[in-house]
Amino acid sequence: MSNTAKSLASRLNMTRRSFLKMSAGTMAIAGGLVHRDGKAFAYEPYLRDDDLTTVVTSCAHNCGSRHMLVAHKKGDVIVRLSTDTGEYQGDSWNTDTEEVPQLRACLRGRSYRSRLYSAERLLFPMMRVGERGEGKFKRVSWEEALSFVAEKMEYIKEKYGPTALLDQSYAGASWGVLHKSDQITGLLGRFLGMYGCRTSSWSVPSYQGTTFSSRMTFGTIKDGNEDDTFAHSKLIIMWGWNPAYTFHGGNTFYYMRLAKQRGCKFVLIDPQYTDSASTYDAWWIPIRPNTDAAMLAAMAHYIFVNNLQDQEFIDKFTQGMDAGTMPDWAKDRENFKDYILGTYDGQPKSPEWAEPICGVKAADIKKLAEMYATTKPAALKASWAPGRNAYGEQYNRMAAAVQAMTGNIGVLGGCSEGVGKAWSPKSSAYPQDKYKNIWKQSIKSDRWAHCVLNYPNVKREEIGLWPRSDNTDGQIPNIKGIFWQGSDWFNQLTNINKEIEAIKKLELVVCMDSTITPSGLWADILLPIATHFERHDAALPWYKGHYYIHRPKVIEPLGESKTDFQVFTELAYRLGFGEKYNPKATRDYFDNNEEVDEVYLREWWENQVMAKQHVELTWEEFKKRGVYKFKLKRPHIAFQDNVEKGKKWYTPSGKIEILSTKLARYTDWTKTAYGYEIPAIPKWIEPWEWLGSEKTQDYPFHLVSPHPRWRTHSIFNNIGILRETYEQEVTINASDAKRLGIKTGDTVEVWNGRGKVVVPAYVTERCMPGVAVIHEGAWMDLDENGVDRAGNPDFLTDDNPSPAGAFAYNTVLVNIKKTELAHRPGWDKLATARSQVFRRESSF
Amino acid sequence: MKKAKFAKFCTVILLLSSSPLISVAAETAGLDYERARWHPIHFKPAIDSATNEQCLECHQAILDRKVKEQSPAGVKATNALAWYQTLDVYQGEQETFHRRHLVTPMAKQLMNLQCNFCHQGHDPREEAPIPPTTKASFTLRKMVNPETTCLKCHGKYDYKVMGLPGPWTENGKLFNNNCMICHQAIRTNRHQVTYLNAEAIEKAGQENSDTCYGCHGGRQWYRISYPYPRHPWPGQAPVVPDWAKDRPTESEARFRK
Amino acid sequence: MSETQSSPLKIIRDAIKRHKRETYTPVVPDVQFGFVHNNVDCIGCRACEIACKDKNGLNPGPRFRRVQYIEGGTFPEVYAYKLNMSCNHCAEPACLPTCPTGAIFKRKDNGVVDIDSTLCIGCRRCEAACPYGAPQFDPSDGLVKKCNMCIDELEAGRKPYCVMACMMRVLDIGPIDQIRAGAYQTKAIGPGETTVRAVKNLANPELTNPSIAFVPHNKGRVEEDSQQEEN
Repeated sequence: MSNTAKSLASRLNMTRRSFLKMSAGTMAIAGGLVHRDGKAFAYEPYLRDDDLTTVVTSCAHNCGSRHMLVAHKKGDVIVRLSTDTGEYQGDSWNTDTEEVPQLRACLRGRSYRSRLYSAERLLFPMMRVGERGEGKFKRVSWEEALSFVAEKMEYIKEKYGPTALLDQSYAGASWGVLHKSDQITGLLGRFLGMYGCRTSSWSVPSYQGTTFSSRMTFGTIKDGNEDDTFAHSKLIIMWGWNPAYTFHGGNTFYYMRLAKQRGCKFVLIDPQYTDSASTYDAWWIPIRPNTDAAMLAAMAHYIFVNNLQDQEFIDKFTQGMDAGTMPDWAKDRENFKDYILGTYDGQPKSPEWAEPICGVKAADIKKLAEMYATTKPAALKASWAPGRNAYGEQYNRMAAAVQAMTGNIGVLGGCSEGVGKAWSPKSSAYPQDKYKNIWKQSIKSDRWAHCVLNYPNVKREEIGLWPRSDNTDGQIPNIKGIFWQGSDWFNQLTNINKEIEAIKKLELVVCMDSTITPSGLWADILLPIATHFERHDAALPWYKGHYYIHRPKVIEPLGESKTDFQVFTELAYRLGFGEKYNPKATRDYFDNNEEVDEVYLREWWENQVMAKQHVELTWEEFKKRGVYKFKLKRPHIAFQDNVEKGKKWYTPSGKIEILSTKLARYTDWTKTAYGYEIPAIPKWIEPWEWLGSEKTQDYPFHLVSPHPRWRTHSIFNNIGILRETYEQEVTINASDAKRLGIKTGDTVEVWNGRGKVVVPAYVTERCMPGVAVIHEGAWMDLDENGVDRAGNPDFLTDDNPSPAGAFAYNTVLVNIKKTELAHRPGWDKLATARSQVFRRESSF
Repeated sequence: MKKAKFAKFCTVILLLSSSPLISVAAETAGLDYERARWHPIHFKPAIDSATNEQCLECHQAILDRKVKEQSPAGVKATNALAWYQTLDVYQGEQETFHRRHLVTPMAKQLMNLQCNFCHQGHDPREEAPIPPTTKASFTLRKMVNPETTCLKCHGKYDYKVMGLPGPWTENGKLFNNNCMICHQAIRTNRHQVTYLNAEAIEKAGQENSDTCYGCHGGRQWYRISYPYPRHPWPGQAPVVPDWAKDRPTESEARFRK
Repeated sequence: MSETQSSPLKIIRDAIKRHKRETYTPVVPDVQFGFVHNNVDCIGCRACEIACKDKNGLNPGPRFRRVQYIEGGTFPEVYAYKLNMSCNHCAEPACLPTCPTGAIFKRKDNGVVDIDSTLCIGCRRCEAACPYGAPQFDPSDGLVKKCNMCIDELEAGRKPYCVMACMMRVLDIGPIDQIRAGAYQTKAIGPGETTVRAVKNLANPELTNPSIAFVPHNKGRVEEDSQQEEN
């Protein structure tokens, strides 16, 4: 018996007897006149993993996690991808413990090879030749492309001033510690800021309501526990949370399975019975979209009325929860408990009050409140989606109040999320100096089109202008150009039809990406950016999970692609600030970046990770292994020290601010970034579109657009092997469908006053009546009348944000009917799955 | 897909209206694949009365396509040996599954299979019926349930039930390899169903028992047999043996002549 | 080349023909490996599917492994679960004897039903015979292909790509007898859980004795269905 067979047997936990019975060799059946025996693989020579070069790297898209990818390559070609097996950190094969679990990649990560080698890959700089948005480009040289961009920048800055270029970089496909695209610490922000012409975009599409809430309530967005703590809860309330779809952070979804095995009960509050509900066997409480704050208020009411609150926790740690915790300066203001009890407006926020608002029975609200208040420890995970609403921040603030009143903060198995950001990695390998995030004006991200279309007749509160301390405060930016770096925002922001009007008024649109994107089709110039397989970097999970993964350059950049750092450095040299922009680089960095990148990364590892995070593994050893997993001394729990050791919260009062000191003290809301009043305590505020509104006469369905499992926002929409696993469809309840005469598979149009999309219908009992669901991120595909045939819900969403900056993605009313219009399911129908099957000229 | 072909493909699909016998291609220029695959003819009840001609208007490729002349490693189709080719009565080339069952000379002679004999409607998502059941006409991952289709002709016959001392392959010689020695008298009217040409089968069986064996004797690759309805034959003993209890006494209504 | 009555080739041909006509004895492996899948705890993410597609270099179209979504009930009392199958490496595979070229074979050491698609002439009989939809026709080259449990990985002492891809650790392989007996240590089966051979909508396992076990959802149990019908 061979050694491999032996090790297989032992690894598969076989008894000695059956293991001895194994024998080598295979036998072909004499079925026909075979001229040789069957072999294992259809194509020989078949390269087994052990014949290939193994390179540890990670995925790189913007989902909050970074899981391990292992490239198996031959020469300069990646043959296949696998994931963590536990051995790369130095343990034996398939080590996978609760303390150090494997970092297994999801379906999106596993499809990366298809993305890397996709037909949509940008290989050369391209210049627009047709009308903007027409999608006609010609190939140009880097010299031509960069000269064009640099000249245009100089012209625009000279003519329109320092706010004319809009930074719309985002953490899309390009995110590492060195090559980074985001608004605060990204490469583009540094580039445009240093150049002196930058309007930045301050609100985060995914979760601005939630970050606002956590900042106001806890003084920080680091309100998260590490993923492993979920295994210790006795009750997990998933409020609009679907970890089975988002794979949000480390191994959260897996630790919840462990919780279930240990007897944890699960509840899902969501208009949809999601796969998270079925997997964790959750009690599903369907709720009307946008009414979450009302239901939470009713839970608070039940808890107060029945005296189930943790009064000791309230007295010790909160400000404004009740009359007793009001600070002296606010004695004449509303406190939370009296708001809930109806002391001020005569309306107790009781379960009976909430029932007609939320569509949830009062008895269910009471039962849940009782469960939550009496089960210890219990995790109420108030996720982001219900916060992507008009007044979404009120939902998150309300949830934080309920978490605090039950004392489920700072304890193992509890939860104060919220944002959920937990352990903090060291995330920047390039200089974080005075040139970081210089901005001349900053607006709510979804208001750029409104600003462009109405300039100069725009009020500062309409665009959420961030206050400045100099004399430019309040100046409306005169936006004339956009830079997209690792972002497909044109496809992903709200009210795309309005964006289409606005983009026609711009003079420069630059798109930097590794593939063509729907946004890229509206650009003037396309710059091909190397993927993370083609450059040196390191990966970290920014949301949950405590590890670093090394990302070496696995293959040479395809075509003429360059890293975004190379492009910005070269442009900076041409514009006169190259040395400052990239201080370690030399003038030839555009052609020769590897040594410089290595120095940045080594210094990051040694000066930040090793020096500040008690890591002893050397840079060289890290590079050799490819991964470093931290073993935390104790489970990372947000605010544990605050509760156990009396550490102050990062709020003005040092307490959990149910009454926000900051909000209470604003007098002129138009001078704030929010523009409009936000109550100092959490309140239910009626949204501008919802099922309780009169607008339902014309638009009777409430549309929500959650994150899909098969894409990360719009990334991977073009991947055929993913595309064949789902439909871009509208989900509706069976009773609604019956009324409209719609069956599963029928093509329907979904429309409102802002736009129209065409999609197939999916009819199910798993969706609440009155609710329609279309997953975000489909690549827009307009017909001649401006109807989107791909089914991108952002043709229907409103670009009017919540005061705190939350995108109102889920505050949308629509109507639905059967249609003769065509749905086109993919970027290129013939390149997608089902068309492959039905391509008739083949030998099918 | 080439444009002309795609246009043709688009025009061949249509709304099945009151009469199921109208051409599936009659209407609908511009109907796309997305709609076509959800066309009512793919589902019950319309699929029950769909004709082969209607099916083949779109799915003709299933019969046009033949086996490859040789495999990538060079196995020639002419040298390959399918099970049915081991029969003396079989003539002809190596054929694909669908051609073998629908258009080869022997298929035309002995059988009258319709597309909807096997294809009884399934979810284009190829997922499960709602709610889940054990009584589906299609199974998970499969458009067709072999237990209620293939087994109607192919399947293991229990030699003990037939009163043989052992499997036919070992004992056929005792009977001169002639099924009719017994089955001339012990007859059922099982072949009297719409999907078979009963008279032609009787004739072929008389001429050479290989024809019988072709369906009933070999291909024992399912471990169970089909619970055929137990039609009484003249002179049949009134006692129902254990193995035949609970069996229906008539063929499925849709196949009765 | 014409063959005379007594040519050696003719004799061999006839012998093979007779053999094939009269005998089919399934290979009885030393150890039969099989899959186990937890229908309840599976989040249906399809990481296994995509890992498989990438490993086997498949275009859209053929899907060796497929996760299927099953749901039922009436709002708001609904339920859902997943079922995940590739090839079940049956004890008595129906695909194998249908193959005219010997491309399909069952391995003696581990019971893996393997296919050498370079011997395939695309007749698609195996595809029709399999009750579980395992053989997949690839329209790009007109060949049938299927899961071979990543035999290269098994031979290297590792588990198949799908198993190693499972984020929830609900898919595994092992000796199927031990899995069924509850004697095999695997994360796919949680504490107190047992497995079944079949669930609703699965083709009758009596057809081919597939080497797969499921931790079923209560609504997916076959027994429950018959009870309901009795009521």
